[in-house]
Amino acid sequence: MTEKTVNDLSIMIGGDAGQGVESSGAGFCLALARTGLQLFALQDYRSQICGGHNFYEIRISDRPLYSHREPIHVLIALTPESVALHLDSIAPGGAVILPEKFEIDEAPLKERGISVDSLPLMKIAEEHGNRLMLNTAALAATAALTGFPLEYMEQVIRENFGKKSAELADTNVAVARAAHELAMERFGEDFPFRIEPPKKATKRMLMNGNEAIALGALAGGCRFVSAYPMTPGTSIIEFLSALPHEYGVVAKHAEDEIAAVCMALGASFTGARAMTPTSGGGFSLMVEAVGLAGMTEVPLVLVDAQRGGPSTGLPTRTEQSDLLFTIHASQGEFPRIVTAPTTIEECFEAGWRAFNLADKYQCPVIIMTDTFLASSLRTLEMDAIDFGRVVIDRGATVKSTDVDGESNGYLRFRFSDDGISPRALPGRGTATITAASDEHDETGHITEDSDNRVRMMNKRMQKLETARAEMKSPILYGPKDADLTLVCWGSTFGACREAVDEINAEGGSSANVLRIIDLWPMREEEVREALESCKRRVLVEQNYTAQLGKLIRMTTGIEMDDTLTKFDGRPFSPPEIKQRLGLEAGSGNEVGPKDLQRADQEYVVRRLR
Amino acid sequence: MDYEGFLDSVRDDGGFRSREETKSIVANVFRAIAEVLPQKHLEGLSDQLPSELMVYLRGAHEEPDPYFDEHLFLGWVVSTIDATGERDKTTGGLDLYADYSGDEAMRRCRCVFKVLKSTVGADHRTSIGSFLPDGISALYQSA
Amino acid sequence: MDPRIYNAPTKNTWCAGCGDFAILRALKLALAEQVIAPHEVLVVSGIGCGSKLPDYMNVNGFMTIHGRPLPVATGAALANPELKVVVVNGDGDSYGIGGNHFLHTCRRNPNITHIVENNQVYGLTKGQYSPTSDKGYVTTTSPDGSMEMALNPLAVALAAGSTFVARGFAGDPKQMAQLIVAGMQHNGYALIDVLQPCVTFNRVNTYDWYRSRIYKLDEMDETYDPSSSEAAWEKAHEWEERIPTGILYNREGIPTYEDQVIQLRDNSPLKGTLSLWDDPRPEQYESLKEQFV
Repeated sequence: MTEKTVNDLSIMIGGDAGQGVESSGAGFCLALARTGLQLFALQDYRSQICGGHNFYEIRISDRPLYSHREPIHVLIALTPESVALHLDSIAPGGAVILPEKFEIDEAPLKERGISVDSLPLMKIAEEHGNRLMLNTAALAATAALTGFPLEYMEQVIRENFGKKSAELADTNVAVARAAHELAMERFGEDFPFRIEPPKKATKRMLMNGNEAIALGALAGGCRFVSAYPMTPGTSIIEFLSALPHEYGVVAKHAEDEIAAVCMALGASFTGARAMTPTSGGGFSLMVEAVGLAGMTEVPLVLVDAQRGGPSTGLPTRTEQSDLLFTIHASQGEFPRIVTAPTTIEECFEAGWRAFNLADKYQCPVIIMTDTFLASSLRTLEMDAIDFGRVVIDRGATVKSTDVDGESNGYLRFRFSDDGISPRALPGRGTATITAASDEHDETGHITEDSDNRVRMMNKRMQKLETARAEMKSPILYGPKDADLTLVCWGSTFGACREAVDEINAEGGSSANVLRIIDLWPMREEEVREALESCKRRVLVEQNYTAQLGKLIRMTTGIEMDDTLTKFDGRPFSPPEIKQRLGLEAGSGNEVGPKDLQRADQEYVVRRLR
Repeated sequence: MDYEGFLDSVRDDGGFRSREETKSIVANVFRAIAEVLPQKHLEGLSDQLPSELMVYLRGAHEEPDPYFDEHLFLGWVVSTIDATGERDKTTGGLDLYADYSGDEAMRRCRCVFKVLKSTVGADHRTSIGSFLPDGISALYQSA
Repeated sequence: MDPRIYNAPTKNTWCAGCGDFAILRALKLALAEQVIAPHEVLVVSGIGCGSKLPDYMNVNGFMTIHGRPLPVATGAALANPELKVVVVNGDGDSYGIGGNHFLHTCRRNPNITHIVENNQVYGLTKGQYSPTSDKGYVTTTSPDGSMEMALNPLAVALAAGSTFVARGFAGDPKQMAQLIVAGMQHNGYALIDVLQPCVTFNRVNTYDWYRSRIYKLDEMDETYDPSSSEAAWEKAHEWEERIPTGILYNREGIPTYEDQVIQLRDNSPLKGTLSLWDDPRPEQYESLKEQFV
């Protein structure tokens, strides 16, 4: 009888697309989260509607989680292929739950002390419901295996299926109960990895990055969203489209990404806060219009939820390979702001803050995420999404009544020291407003005059310098002086954070993480100062060419000491980072939650003046 | 004056390259006049103009478009200036043909007007001028 | 209203005799006739000679990028349905690079009046063949003559579901102004394809070429019924010998896209948050968190 580990395990559901892997995984997450457990859930799927292996990985803990993590402790295999694919990820002492009649080679699993439990799940599903309820049976068996009370699952089943019909809910519950009973008989309380609902059920949300961006945008006054469906950006417009009508968000599914960005531009020109979410391929199509927004000084918020490239690449997988592209996208030179939230909380902030930046600096603002951040679910405290913190700043404006009767007096593109020309809206006063993608004078009318060109370029580009003062400073996580600094941006922060927590808890060497959220314009001097004081700088990026490293070198002249890149479309995990740093301390699971508390300090690196 | 004489006078005055080019210029100026000259004013003109020219005026409207202006008038004449088939040798902005085509079209109009004025009687000379759009009318008066 | 109110102090750079002058004039006349103040209208254009038009007018103007004025205008119309939105662009902009937007705008039916300056040639780049150039048309990029069939924009618009299809001729500015008024009064997308000679680069489709072929539908046949899609389809296919101008098709009573957007109905939050100075209402949002619990 081995020692029990409580609330520190990962469960994976693997199967074919179409077997309900995602929906049953999400349902199981909800049941777990409602007990007060903390979760991190990762979906992995292929760009196919039916067929092809899919998996859903749920990591469970009592403390907040920021990443998925190997190994997994329970594999629910809905296809024989799932076992073969995830064989090496299963922890010693773990279990594989699979329906009857699967022919798999059990020897390599048994050698590692993994129990292989074939249960008559299909028979139960067919007896009490139908074949499609196999996943319900498998999850109920998993609940029995890990000691998780079935009542939470039953509640979620009733909610999810009750919407369709009460009968459907009843049969699913019947299937779950039968499978649970059978599994209880089989497993008892022998399995070493247990799930125990906390004594107090803290209310938390389960949310992904796209949902947080959409909520932030809504709270930030976004009232127009246009998009063309593209994984993994699609769920942002889906969320905003599904809002009740009284929120007044006009959501337009356009004929292509070019139309999507142009519609947002047109809406923003007339004064609506407008956004267009997409992924890299769609952003490629939008590039010319990004330049239009830059030239005509129309506020525009874009989201590039990156995925594996180039071209169609790895449509459902994660990558951070658009950074240098977005910073340089479109011909000519114009100010733009690129910000990359690293957590779901920061996604919410980016959602509303982007509109303020776009309005204040009258330029395109690009929020960069990736598949991993956009679609992974995490439990969040209720106040992590704090609508009270949302500030609306529409920048320098001219009230319509102030420009009444001044058709020729109001200068939309008035020269100014900070580069910002107060904005009035067309149709909101008697002044007329002209904007042109051609070079133009202060009135907005076309001119190729050399002096005007120089002044107008200076005016526009000055906005970048004005904006720089408002950009976020680089943030250091972990002990201030460390042997090792991981440098990252975007979603890799989650895995880096857990990796340094583990390194510091293990003793020996110390580590911290420097993350840069506002990538363009960058707080260059602060980034330089922060990096100069690091003992060993290791860049961690989810791309081939180490783009943040190049950007840092370009803007600060600083070189990284080492670079960890990854471009297989699968997100970094903390053990993988440690292993590649040569700091792996065994199987990767012996760091207990209690040891991790001391590293939980975070402060901003401010320039000392 | 007969048709050939009319063409010769216009060609001599304007220094046009060929009889064909002159013919096209005369035709288009007359067609443009037809756009503004009310139909009933054609009566009487046939005694004074050769039938080859009257053909171009046949398209005159009962009620000419009140908004037919000098730009439209010139449009009929500009299209007689040879400009196609050349590759773009400019840097994109100024096009030498296009930039001078307005002046050239006005010169062409003037050449035709001059001969026309010397061909028709005083009444018609005045009335034709009165129907021309503003800028063109001034050109006609000075021809 | 005096159409001179729409005059801008800018210098016009069109070729002398360009048909765009007549379109500019007709638009001003049409706006004046409807007593629309300059700040109540938004004219959106793309790129090309004719797309400079908003620069020559005192109205709200947005000169966008090549092929994209329709989606920009759609966004503007959706965000502020009170604006009178007019799109002006050329045949290359509308039917070539912007062809996809043209198709989808026809079936989407936003309340936009779309005037196409169709001169069957690329003028600003100095004389290459366009989507509406007739087959065999010789240009710098088609030295052996264009090998493609000309696009029939009116038939395409009808097939794509446009509720108002008209053709004007730059040589008839009075009729053109009437068509623009009718298009703007039409509730929904209105296409007005204007035959407009490029006096510099198109030596085939000249004023004379068009004048000898065009006829006004309403004058030729007083019984012509523009609500009949069959009649419109037939007329849209007349070209070569005889070319009809006027309103080929006008179907009223079809809801516009904006009409169907529930969020845009009276007193919707969009109207409130449209202006730069109104705050949205944060207290509404808190309840949204419950769907994640």
